Amino acid sequence: MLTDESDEDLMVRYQGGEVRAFEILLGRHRKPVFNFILRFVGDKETAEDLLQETFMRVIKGAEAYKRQAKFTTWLYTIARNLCVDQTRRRKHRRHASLDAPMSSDEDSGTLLDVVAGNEMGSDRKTVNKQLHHKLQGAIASLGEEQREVFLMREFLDMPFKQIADVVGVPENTVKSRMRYALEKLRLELDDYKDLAKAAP
Amino acid sequence: MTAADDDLDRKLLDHDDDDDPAEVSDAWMRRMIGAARASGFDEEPAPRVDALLMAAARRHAPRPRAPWWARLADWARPAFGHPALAGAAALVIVGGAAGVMYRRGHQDGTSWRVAGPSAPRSSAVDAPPPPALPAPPAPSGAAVGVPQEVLRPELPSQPATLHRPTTARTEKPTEARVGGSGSLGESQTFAKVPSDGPGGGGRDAKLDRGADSTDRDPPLEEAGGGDHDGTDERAPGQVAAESPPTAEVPRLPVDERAPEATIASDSVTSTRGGIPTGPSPRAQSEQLLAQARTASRANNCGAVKAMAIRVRKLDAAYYQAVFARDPAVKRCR
Repeated sequence: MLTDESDEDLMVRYQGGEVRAFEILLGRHRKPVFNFILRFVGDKETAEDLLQETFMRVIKGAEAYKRQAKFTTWLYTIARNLCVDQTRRRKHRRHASLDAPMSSDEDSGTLLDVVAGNEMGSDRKTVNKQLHHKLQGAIASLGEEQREVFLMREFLDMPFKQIADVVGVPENTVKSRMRYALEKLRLELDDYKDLAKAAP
Repeated sequence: MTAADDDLDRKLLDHDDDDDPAEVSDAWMRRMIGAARASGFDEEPAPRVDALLMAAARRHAPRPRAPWWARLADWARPAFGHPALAGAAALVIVGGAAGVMYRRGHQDGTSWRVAGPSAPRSSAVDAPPPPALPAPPAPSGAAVGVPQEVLRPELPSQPATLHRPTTARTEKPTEARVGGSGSLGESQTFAKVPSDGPGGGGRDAKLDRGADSTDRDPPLEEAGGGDHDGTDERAPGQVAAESPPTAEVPRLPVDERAPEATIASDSVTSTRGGIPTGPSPRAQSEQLLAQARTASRANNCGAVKAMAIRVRKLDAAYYQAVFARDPAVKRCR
């Protein structure tokens, strides 16, 4: 069964021209990669573009792929590099962010709150929405280096060693960045501690 | 940095992947992340992205690696498909074949004459002569087995070196003796044999002489007589190989010889299954003898000796019987 095969085996099959193998790979990784990119860049449209670009690079680089390399390391290295490039480009062309506060006042709502605020039909949905916004805001407030490590560790469940391979820094540096990311998130989300405890 | 920070640092740095991540991060925060993800924090990409990616994957899918001959054919197809290149290749092939044919025909200076379907001459060159077999008596004085049409009474008397037969042939001694139809081979030895004379009163002419018939032998016209009983007690090949030459005697023109003899003896190219493969050793030896005579006249005895060595290697029988006895060669000794 193709679906039981490892990522590396599937990639080798795709090298041999088996498109079905790539379809399985895409099904396995499209959502985690998309969410990684989305949390990294904070913009869905950009995230979709970058997701497309990531897998396009996988397709074009398939012939050069060596089985010794771990597929997810390769995949997330591509995605991460694209995200870093995108973030650097965006620094020069600042757009209004849906997650950014609309004013300098920390308690002011975000643009997303205004746009989507009327959609909440129930308390649970409202709580979840608030939780999501707050979490997304807290992640966006992290520095780029801490954010990528946090996302890979918490959302992709990657080992520190693999994160170090993707980011290209020593493993201890990754752990240190993770520590600072958690510290900052704790501060950001402290107000929502009770909300988090109440969450199912 | 507080003591708590140091403790957290230490925990993080010592943290293994097998450890429970909850040990190093606040449990409430992890629960919050989990709750957010469970309630739809993770999003799905638009289906159009999947469709686009699958279309791209099909379009750019690596082709299975073809075997090397298929890749070579793919590589060569556009090149040799071009009319100019194909024409040039054909020209080279045809020219090469013509060149080879021309060289082969030019080297021996004769046209190819195939000795018929009998055994090729080249295979007989190095073969040892067959043992001398006693020939059966000729009933009517004619040479045994020699067809009547071979007998050429009108053949002008010529000394013995009309054309020296090649060395003995072990494959078909009978054919050599008998001549056979259209393939006389070396049987030109018996080309002129009288049909008269009981018991083979003798040939009126003998086109060659055996090893024992040296210079003291009478001329061909006188070679007959009662000392021959119409049969030849030697194997034809052996006779031919040992027949001494007479260097000064001109060769009989080709068209004056018996047709069968012409076919066989003068074919200076070796054949293999009827296909010429190059000058035979005998032909080369004859050429070398001619060159040696020229060199001897020029007092170039070194060259004569070198040629003698070559001839001995090429055709030892010819060397012994002809080359070494040639007066011009002898002059250099």
